[in-house]
Amino acid sequence: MVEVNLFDAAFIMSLLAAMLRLSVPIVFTGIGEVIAERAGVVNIGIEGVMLLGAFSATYVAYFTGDAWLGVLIAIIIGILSGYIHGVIAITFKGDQIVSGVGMNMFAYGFTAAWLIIIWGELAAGNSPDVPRIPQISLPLPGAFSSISPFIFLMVLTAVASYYILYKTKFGLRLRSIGENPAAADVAGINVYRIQFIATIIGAVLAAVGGAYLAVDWNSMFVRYMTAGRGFIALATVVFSNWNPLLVLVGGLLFGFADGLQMRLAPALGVGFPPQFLQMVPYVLTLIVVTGAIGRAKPPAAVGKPYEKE
Amino acid sequence: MSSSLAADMQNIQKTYRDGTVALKGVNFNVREGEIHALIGENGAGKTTLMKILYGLLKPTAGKILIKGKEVNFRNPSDAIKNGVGMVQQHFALVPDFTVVENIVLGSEPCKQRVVIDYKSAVEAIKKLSGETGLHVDPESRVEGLPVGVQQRVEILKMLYRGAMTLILDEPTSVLSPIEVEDFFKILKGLRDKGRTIIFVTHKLKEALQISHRITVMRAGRVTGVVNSEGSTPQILANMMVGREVELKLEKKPVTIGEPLLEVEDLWVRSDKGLFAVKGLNFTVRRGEIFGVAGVEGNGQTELVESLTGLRKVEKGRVKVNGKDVTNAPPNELTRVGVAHIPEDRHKRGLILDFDLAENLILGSQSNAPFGTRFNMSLGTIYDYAQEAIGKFSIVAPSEKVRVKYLSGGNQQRVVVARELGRNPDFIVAAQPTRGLDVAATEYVRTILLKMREGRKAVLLISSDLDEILQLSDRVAVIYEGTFVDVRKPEELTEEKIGLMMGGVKPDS
Amino acid sequence: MAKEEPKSQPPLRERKIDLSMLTQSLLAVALGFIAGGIMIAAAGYSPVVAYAVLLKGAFGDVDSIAETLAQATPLIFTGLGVAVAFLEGCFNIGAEGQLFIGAFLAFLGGYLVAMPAPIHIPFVIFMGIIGGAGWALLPAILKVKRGAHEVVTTIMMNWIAMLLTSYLTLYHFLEPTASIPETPIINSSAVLPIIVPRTGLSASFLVALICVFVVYYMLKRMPLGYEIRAVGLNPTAAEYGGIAVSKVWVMGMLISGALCGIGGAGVTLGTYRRFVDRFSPGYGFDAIAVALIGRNNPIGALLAAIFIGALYSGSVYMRLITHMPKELVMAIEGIIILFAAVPEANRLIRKAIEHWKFWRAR
Repeated sequence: MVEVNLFDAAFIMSLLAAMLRLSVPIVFTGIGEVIAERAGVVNIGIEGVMLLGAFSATYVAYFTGDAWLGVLIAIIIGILSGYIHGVIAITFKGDQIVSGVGMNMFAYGFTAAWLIIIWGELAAGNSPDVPRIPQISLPLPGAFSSISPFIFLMVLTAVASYYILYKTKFGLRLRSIGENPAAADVAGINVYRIQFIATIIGAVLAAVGGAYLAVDWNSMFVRYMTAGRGFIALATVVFSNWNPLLVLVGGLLFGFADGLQMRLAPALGVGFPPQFLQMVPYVLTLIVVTGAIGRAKPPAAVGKPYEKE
Repeated sequence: MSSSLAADMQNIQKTYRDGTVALKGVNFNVREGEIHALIGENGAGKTTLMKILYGLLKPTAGKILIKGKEVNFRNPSDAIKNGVGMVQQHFALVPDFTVVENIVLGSEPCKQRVVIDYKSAVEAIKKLSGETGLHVDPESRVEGLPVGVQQRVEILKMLYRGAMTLILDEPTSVLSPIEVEDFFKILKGLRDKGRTIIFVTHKLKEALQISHRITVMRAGRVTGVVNSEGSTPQILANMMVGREVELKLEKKPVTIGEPLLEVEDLWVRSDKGLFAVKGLNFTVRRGEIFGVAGVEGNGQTELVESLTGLRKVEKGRVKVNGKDVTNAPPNELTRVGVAHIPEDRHKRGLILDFDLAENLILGSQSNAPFGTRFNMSLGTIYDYAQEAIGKFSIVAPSEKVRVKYLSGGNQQRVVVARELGRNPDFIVAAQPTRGLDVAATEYVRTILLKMREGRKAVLLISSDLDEILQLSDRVAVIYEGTFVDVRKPEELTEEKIGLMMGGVKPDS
Repeated sequence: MAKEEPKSQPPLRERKIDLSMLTQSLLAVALGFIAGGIMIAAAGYSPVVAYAVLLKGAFGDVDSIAETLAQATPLIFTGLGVAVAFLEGCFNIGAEGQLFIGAFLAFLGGYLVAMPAPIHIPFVIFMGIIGGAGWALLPAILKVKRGAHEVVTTIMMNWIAMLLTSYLTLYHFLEPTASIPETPIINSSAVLPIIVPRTGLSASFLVALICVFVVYYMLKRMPLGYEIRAVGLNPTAAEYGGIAVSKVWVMGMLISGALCGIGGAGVTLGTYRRFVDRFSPGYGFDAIAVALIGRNNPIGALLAAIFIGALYSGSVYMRLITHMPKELVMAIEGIIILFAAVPEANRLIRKAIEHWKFWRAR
């Protein structure tokens, strides 16, 4: 058992660095879902999309030796997944929740199976090592000496999304669809097209979040590696009141809890059960969703397929 | 006012896919710079016609000319490009957005084609407000605004896009009398600045007050176009209501008994929070059919819901058979002997995916003889359904058919069978023959008369005047939440009712 | 919109015959298999061989059938549970969590208490009911009182349940000699015996069959079942008809949870005779497939559960013979669900809007 001083500078530094790293997939996926839901489309299949993004990035990185190329391919996979969900939810006006469940199940099965198909029996638990995204070295001590470019990308995405949603023409129209699609329709806006775009953007961001997990945070694909982060991202969406900048905050919060739980358990001694700390994100979500901390106000028409009268 | 036409609609027909004919060859034109009122009852076709002019609907046949040029609107954007704007009765606003966001939605002024230039938008809006008198705070959120201000936002939306011809659908229905006066001043101002206004309404006095010409529609046709100068409410009511008389049913004399329903000072709110029913007082006695006539949206729905346990009574009392049932839940009202034929049988009256028998026992599923709390006697239920089919002349393949496959008339018979099967003392019938064919209509009316003969009581709410006049022992006309008057049907002519429905109490 | 046409539009006069429920499911399954076949081919295997081996593995001999039914058993319970929830218009994605809690409480009942078998077995099953229903209670109340969407709340409850039972197993009830985290065996008086020797098929299958009939009876013959269906189809009309919608809704959720709880109890009492940490390979999500394919019908759920059970048990044999990873079967299941998400779109929207309007007005 290692005695760790909780207020040791190195400990805090490593915790903060972990917080940043662990928040990335959640923030990307969360922002993507905010965009989709702001246009009225719910996609609970983002957990599966993350997984597919992670897997495709690993695959490409393994065979080409280029991790960034892997991310690019993950983006394409995201476009495909978003398109499929869009067809089911928007074109066919099918059940958005069920479609998400199907996507998740497919992704779980597909990725686990293809691990073995590509890399053989021994890879059942995880793929071999693949090239990692080159980290950026900073003139800072300890845990911050090298940092992933995705941290910057994450912040950039949050700021850009906020700007686009609230300052641009496209953003205004997108938000109007999520609130009152009939009003948007009458104003001459192409509701279905924008919903499709929003859904695809959401899936692309989720795929990127997943890709990060595989070729940056880690350097391999591990079976079921998303471990429910897609659902935590869903929680962050509610927590952030559908605001991309607050998704950043929420993601950092969950990342902090995650990082803490990993370090705290050994710090407090072998006896302390980590499960309670691991529960924190989920309990937090419950509290938020039931409006115990202020009423989170979703887009008024979210989840309802729009039918032109 | 010029004599050139801002809009000219020629021989417009509109038939829906299921066969309903909404417009039967309508000719309608508006002169430039004119304020033109379009009046008619519910179902006359005025909103349908205007939706066509605004590009929301496509006519099945006919021509539309805007300023002499023939046009073919595929959607409202086309209409707006041609200078035609419409403010619908139910606003198309995004509550969460601010006024300026709502106004620019779809026509956003942009810097570099991407970023919205709110500053110039706000300036443009302020300029418009100054010109027209439609004052709004561009930064405020629409959700919290009073309805009258929201309406201004809707109008500004159209003006911002350069609409020169404005269609306003029942604009004063959301305004108080003082606001109406201000509103008319604004309309006159708009007209002075060269705009043309089409004013759709059922309120006769207002139409006469504000417009230059009036077009009257009835049952999908235009029955007349008059100059308001020299016209009177009586003339308009005549043209609006007409003289179509359907089957005259026989009404036997019945002795009126003790009060069954007593309503005292009833106040009920609408969904928007304003009072829709404002202090109604009335009594319905045994052997009576009490009819409530009026254009929809004057409080009927809220009245019915408050009497059937589905909407809160804010103030006042409701008594059935002497027992106070104010705000009692639906099943208690059923126990006390109140039955309800709801106005939208698909939404409220039936469960379309349930079969006939299952719908028949809705509400009684755990009562004898259909069952106990833990078990339903399917045999009894289906036998009962078979009997009901015969007794109520329901045309259905079997008692196991899902009611969504039945025709409207037969669906209504199922509702009637269910409600009457409980042997109620009192029926609230809301628009009971809406959408029904002649045979079904006669059937339902006969049933109501039978209730009356059986010394039960009926509260009949209907926008079908013939129905009201034929069936009721007393008629009340509801307008903006109160009864304009309560008369015996013999004392009423159709013109008088038309007046009352438009808010005017006749002198005699 | 100020409609001047009769409010009750009659699109149903068109006498359109709904594509029969069975056909819809078969269609989704067929399409799923075709797409799956393409996927299998892409992996370098022959779809025909794969499916043939799958079939043989699932139904080839008595033992195989028994294994299939054993795999199907938890799915029957959770599928019934999710079906009941769907019928009342509720998305119970929390079957997994309710399963875990039910399983653990059944373990406690079987381990800590000693009773003669005829009393013990109903007792532990009852513990499963309490566990599952209790775990569904919180999301139900949160929805009815605070409008919290049950999809998010039930998913969260899943994770909390898994972590909670994990903790209890690892820190309070750990079997020291075991190689995986699990509890000691329950008392033999609480065990549901194996009914086909050398297989995993225990008497919990019989309990599952009983549940199918109980749910069938409830839906068809009990006022509660009637009310649940009414609330799911048209909550406004149900309220008009005097049904206490919120109460019925919560009741439905509790029943749904209870069924999943019994499912968990069945696993503890029959399959493992103990509580195994994280034992569920995703029964809660399979339950959704079962309910969908079975069209929310108890008998349909039974058949669908056997179908999915066949997929899983067959996939083990398939793995043995063709070396195809059995997870591919899960992927095919996912594709089937995707196809099943689009049955009669029209009806779904109408229903969804009705439901949304109804809950919005609360």
